[in-house]
Amino acid sequence: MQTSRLYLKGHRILLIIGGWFSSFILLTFLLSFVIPNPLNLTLPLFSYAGIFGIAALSLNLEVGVTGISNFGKIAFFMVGCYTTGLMYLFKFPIFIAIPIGMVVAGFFGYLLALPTLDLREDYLAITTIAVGEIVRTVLRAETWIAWPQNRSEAGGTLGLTVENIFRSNITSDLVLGNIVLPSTLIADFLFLFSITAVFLLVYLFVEIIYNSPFGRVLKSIRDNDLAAESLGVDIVEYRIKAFVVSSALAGLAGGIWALYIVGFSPDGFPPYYTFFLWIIVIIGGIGNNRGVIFGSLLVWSIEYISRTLTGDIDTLVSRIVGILNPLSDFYQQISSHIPIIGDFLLSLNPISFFQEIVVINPPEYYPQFFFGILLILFLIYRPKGIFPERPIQTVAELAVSEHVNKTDSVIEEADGNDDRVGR
Amino acid sequence: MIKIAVLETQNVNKNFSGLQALKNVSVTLKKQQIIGLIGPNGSGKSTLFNLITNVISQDEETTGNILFEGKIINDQKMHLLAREGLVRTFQVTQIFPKLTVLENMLIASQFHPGENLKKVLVDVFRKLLHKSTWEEEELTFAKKAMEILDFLEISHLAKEKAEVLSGGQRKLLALGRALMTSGKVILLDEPVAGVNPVLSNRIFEKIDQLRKESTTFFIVEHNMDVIMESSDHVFVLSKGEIIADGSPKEIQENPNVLDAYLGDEGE
Repeated sequence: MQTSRLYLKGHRILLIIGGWFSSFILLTFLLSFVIPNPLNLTLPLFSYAGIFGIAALSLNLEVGVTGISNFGKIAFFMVGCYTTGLMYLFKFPIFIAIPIGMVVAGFFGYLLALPTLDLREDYLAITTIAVGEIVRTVLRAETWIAWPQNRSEAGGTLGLTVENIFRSNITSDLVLGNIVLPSTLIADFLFLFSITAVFLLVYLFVEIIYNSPFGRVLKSIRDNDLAAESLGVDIVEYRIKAFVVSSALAGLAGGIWALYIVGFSPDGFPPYYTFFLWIIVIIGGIGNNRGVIFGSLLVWSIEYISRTLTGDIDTLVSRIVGILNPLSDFYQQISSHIPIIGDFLLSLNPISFFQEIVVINPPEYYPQFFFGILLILFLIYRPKGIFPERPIQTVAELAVSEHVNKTDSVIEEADGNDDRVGR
Repeated sequence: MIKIAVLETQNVNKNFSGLQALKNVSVTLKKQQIIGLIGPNGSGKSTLFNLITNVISQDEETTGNILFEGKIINDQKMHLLAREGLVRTFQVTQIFPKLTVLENMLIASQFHPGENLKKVLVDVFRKLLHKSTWEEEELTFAKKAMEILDFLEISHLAKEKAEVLSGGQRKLLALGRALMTSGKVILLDEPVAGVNPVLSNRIFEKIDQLRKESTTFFIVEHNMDVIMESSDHVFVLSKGEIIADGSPKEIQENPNVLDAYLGDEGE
């Protein structure tokens, strides 16, 4: 029996790497028919998906595995982001700055966990939403935390500005015969590779936790904390551990985000991002880490592609409105001929109502409409997500198969003359 | 042979905003005994279990003592009690629905090194160096779990999610988990309700066998035949008070007990 395969699932990692990069190539190829320079879209898209994937994996550890409904994930992301940014500006190398960001985010998680993890699920959700908002407000109000801008007046709203280490270190273009690869492109590619590498390491880490008795205990707490406690599980301790580990991972995602996005301010971390992570986890599959990777890619593709194509949406909207205008006039004519309630019907004109919705709502909200609908559909028809949760895999399975073999041989001995022996 | 008391309650009280659920209840469990606890519905049997395992706390003004192996355990957390060997099941079966039956059993394994996060992470590297890891204990525990499941006749369901089990099978699973903990005192709240008579007899045979090894059982059960046959000592609760205790035979002949059960009809 190959027990080692249960620990480090090498072949599955290869599968994920293959899926990740082949979808990158495929998407770039498909987009090349639509827009002139698809790499400008897919490179940031996959980087965002990777960074948010790390945060979503950490959220999955809380929500999907331990059952802690954390709606303030963005706070830990933000703490990691700011700490790493500040450490970088204090001239620490990134290999120290990012771990410091993780430690600070984890410690922040510990501080929050101590008073709140006794709370019931819904109260915990309310508290964590509040914490996310508090962190953002504090960072905006504190004047000392703007860097290196002039911070006397606007305070924290200016945020921090760091630099993209890949772009600032790779300055010369690469020339291969006739093809000239611009330095920014190489830098972005290297950044994407680094993000993917970290993402995969985090994936391995959460998979190891998931496929261990520790992960099993976390799942038992999610399922039934009373029963877990009656069997000797210290539920508070385990919940705190899961919360701290998950906060540190969110801090890691935040730290990479800081270096990737270069300039950031408190208003760049709206609560929407928390729900974004939730959408990733719910659509991908609650409690399934591979599902989360897929979900992150899917959700960011929708978000980012529609965000990039908004320039075209303006013309599209005016075209739709142009088509609908005659219909609207027709409706007005009909209702003006109806006595008594005609005026009332006129005010109910559904077509002008639609026009107003389309015109009032700016295109950047369209993905949110779409996510809302998608979320409802998923919760109704596929609440387990695209990749449903699977049982954890440890060597305990060997005991089952051994047992099955044993009982089978007993059966065979018992009816040795039987024709069904072949089973 | 004098048997020492492993679990003892001294005058415990519980008042649910006016309803006196338990009134000065004192019970003593001696080592390696099977002790039955019977009484009509609402007489406070489950409340007594909840008080012992600190699921609910005693009245503040009239606190009695609960002793486990001679130590006062009034405010000890339930998980610490379980680690020390005082384990219970619940009347409303508590299972982990999304975990498999085998996983349900493995949660009950005590002092499993793999449940320690640090150990899990360190063992990744030990594994690469081909050194021993928590997987050895895991396999041992899993084999033990399979034996218990086999005995309870649900081993073929080991890989199924627990949510697919029927009511009776869930009872068996909860019982199996309690047996898995190898506790010193096991409190069973209606262990065989909804289990077929043949299997329930076998379960009590098993309990009897385990008792001889070292475990003490405290059992709430409505099935009088089973409880009278297998217990060494029976306590009868009625309206929150112990109205009788003694050997099964004494209880059966005690007129108070009959009154408690049939009293309401007679009036």
